[in-house]
Amino acid sequence: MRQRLIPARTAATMRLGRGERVTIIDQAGRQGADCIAVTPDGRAVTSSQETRARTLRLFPIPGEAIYGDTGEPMLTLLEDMSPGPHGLLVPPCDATMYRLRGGGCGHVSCYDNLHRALAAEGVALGRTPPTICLFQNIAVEPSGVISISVNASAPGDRITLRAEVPLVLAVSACPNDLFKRPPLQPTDLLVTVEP
Amino acid sequence: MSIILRPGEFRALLLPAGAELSVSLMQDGAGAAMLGWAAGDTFEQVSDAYTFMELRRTHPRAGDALFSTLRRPMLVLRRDDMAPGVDLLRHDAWLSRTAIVGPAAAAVKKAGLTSPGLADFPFAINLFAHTTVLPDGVLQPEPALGKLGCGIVLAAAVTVILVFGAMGDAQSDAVSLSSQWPATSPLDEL
Repeated sequence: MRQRLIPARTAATMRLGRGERVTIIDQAGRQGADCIAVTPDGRAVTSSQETRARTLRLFPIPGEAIYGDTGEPMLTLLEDMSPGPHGLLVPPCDATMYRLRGGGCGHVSCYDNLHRALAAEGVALGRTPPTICLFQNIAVEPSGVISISVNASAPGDRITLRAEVPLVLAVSACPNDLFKRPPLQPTDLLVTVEP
Repeated sequence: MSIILRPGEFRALLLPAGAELSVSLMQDGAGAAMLGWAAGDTFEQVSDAYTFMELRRTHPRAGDALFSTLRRPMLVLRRDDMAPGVDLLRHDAWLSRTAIVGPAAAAVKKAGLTSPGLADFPFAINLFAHTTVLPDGVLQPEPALGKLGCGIVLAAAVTVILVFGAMGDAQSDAVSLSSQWPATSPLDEL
């Protein structure tokens, strides 16, 4: 088994072979994990739009896939040992979001962290897909109002996915400290990969 | 400017900042897939995800903006006769991505406008389509209920390139696009 600790406010990548299982673990609880998976050649990227269209859900359930923007399944959700929910609706946090919301200029963000991590693996994306936001406490009310609250995940909660194609998976320990108020702060994630 | 689209037809146009575009149905149950990006930066694109984030609503209403990947308003929905008539939840409400990107790129090229690379095309936003979100997060496609004469009016917050692909009964015209913007566009047909 391979494993990698992702310190709070940073991102890292793991290369996955077809069939390998990756587990993302919220170590301290209430921490979001923003993920993008890309084929090594950059040809396909995980797509929230394609996943919603093919599963007809806001987020897949175990046994269903997360699809790429080419329409191919890239990851299959195997097990969700968290209370959920998870998000596929909104984009990753970025410097503009933080500036607009009073976080100041130059706030570290999933957008920058993910691209930097992928670039270090030789993957230069020309686009930023909406991320797979694990442990994101996002809900859609019957009125259509979207509410995003502090994550409900507990220490040790985890989600396991299987790679359906060779992938570079980038995971960001979301640095959002505007939602979280003291004493809550961004915390580490642990990612494990098994054959 | 006035453009009539038959089902399956794609057209691209440049809409200057401040200009309004009326998209109207010419038959019951018709609709259009729409793609958009900034004229000055093809990577700044009209985005479902950024619109969800900024509106905090799944369905834009009259007065709402459709936001770009740079988190700024690109189009303002001035009128929506179907309320809601803009579907952001299912990019393939009218056509699959495969069925859209090629014809859309061809339409943009024919119009002499700039576009992203094929792999970087945005996902479609669908006009006169509707998807309901059920309590357990299931997405339920709804029948296309737009009537002849139903319209959506969009105002450009920035100068945008828009591509429309029409859907409907193949026997007659599906969608009309009309605008009062100045007659300096390469697509003016007055």
